[in-house]
Amino acid sequence: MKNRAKDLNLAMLYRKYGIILILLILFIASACINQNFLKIQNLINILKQISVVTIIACGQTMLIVSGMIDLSAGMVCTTSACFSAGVLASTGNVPLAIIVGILIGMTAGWVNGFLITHYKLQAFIATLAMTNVAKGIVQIYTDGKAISGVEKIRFLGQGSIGIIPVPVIIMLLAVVAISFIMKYTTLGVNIYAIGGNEKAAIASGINVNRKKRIIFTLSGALVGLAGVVLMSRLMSGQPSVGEGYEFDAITAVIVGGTSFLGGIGTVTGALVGSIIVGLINNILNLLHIPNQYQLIVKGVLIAVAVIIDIKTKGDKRSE
Amino acid sequence: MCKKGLTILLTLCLSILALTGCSGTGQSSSGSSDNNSEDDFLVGFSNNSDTYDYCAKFRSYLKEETEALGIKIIVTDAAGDTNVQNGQIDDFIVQNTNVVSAISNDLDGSVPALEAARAADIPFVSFLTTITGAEDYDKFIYVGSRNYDAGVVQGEYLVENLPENAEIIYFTGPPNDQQYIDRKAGLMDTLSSRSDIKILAEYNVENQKDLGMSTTEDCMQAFESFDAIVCQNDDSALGAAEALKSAGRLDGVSVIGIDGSDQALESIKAGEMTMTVLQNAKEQAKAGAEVFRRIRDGEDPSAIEDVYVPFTEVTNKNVAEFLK
Repeated sequence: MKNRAKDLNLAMLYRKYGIILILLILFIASACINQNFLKIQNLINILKQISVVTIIACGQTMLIVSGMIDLSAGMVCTTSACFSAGVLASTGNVPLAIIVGILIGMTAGWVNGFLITHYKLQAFIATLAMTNVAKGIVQIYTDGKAISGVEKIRFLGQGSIGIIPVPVIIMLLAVVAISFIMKYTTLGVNIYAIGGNEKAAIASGINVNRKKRIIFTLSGALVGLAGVVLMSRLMSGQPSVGEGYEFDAITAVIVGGTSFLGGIGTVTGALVGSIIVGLINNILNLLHIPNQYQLIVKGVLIAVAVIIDIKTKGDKRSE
Repeated sequence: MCKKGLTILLTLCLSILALTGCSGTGQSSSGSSDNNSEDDFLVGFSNNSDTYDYCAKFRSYLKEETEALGIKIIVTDAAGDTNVQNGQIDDFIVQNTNVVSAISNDLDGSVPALEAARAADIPFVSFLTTITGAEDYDKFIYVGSRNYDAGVVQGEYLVENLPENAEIIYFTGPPNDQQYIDRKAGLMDTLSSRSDIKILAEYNVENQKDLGMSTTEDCMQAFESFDAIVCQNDDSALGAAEALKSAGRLDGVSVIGIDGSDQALESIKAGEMTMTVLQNAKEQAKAGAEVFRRIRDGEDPSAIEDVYVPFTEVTNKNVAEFLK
């Protein structure tokens, strides 16, 4: 009994602090290897480069913790980016463009949630279908070409407040907001309950279907926001950029300590996970290692993260 | 079981450390050259996409020509992703390169890269493509070839070689593309010197081979005869040549393209396509390396003009030079 309790504590300890330890080790190692790494501009670049994916990862954390997943996040992000760009280019109205982007994300999210709760489709399948629909829609809307004429949103994508780029500020705000929701609201409690044990959650009176739709819609809003930020980063709506972002987001979430099996995980963990991935990409760049190797590293990272996830949770389950 | 997990974790950290540490020591002797010192002039070049024939060729030439002048160059591949390319240029700046350059992936999408270079007051050399707002940055230098000039080379060939009262069909790319507008303008302006040449029709074949082929088949039905099919790129010209060849009507029809792709050169050698306008990657690379040299030797980048490398006319007579 004593041993089991001790093991449980170690697992919890790892989940809470393990990734921060990994981040620290990587940070120190990178600083030693390459003197350009520690430059303020470089560190800011890393944060800037992970901002779009991290915003998506905030939503993805809620989904994975509640036992679902969204494979359409990348393509919906692209669709939001392009429609937002289109609206801005034709009306010149920045708030309208931002709202349109977020609404598109929310709509896609709601449809995903509906398919999963009403028709009992697996999240995997429903969102996979959504990816293709979104891809088709964005190709038709943009005719395969980038949409330009979005000069008005320049500050959002290229500007900074002090030395911190605006996309980074938006990313941090998203992390704080979703973190708050997951820790201090009923929805947050529900997310962990549904992910931990769905049957028990239903039994305890939670309207699980309704909550799932809410989670998907909220996550969709974040994907839409990410699309707007992406569009402002690229000063255009690019139909070919954004595909595959859901995998980067999921990697960040899992590396950050969220369990693939549901019930465990935090948004701040996802942020740390995202920084770890971004840091590794950055140091490989500074070492002039071709970016194809970065793809391999990403794949290995997520495999290792899931293995560690299973090892540390598997013990708990076996008790 | 948990200790096993912790062990895996620790091993992972140590192996990452070891891996990066090893390449670190390997690099530390050249590491000092990565951190640019006063005497080490360093150029960064981000290629659009190594899997795109022309860009892959161009990148090898640029590396060759630059290193031949004794200048160090970092070459990366953006794999077609604008975000990745912008990130690579950010990284060049962090590594204190004296010049950043790229085949800019997208007119608007590459704006962050231009902004980053401007903020760091570093010259930006853009090859083959330009970026929105480039005119506002005085240290932006364009090295490439003008689409208008490609049209001119086509026009000159036609003016010289077409028989009297010749009739031609014009195959183009999408009409809202700047490339279409410029290539057509160059062609039409040059053709105006021969008022006897008549343009029977113009078709938008999206610069694609299959549309080039099917539209040619339709033209053979619609028109009794014509003397030339002039195309805005090689792919559609190859399609046209295919269709003519299958129908046995290649004789007496000149098929003309733009690009100088390997397939077009083969086709010219085989006597099917008549002529193409070659974009000279090697000359463009030389011009780029020359710009780098001028900056290294102390010339003020804001005074350096854009460089336009002329196209080369390639026909049966000189195709052997370009086929490797």
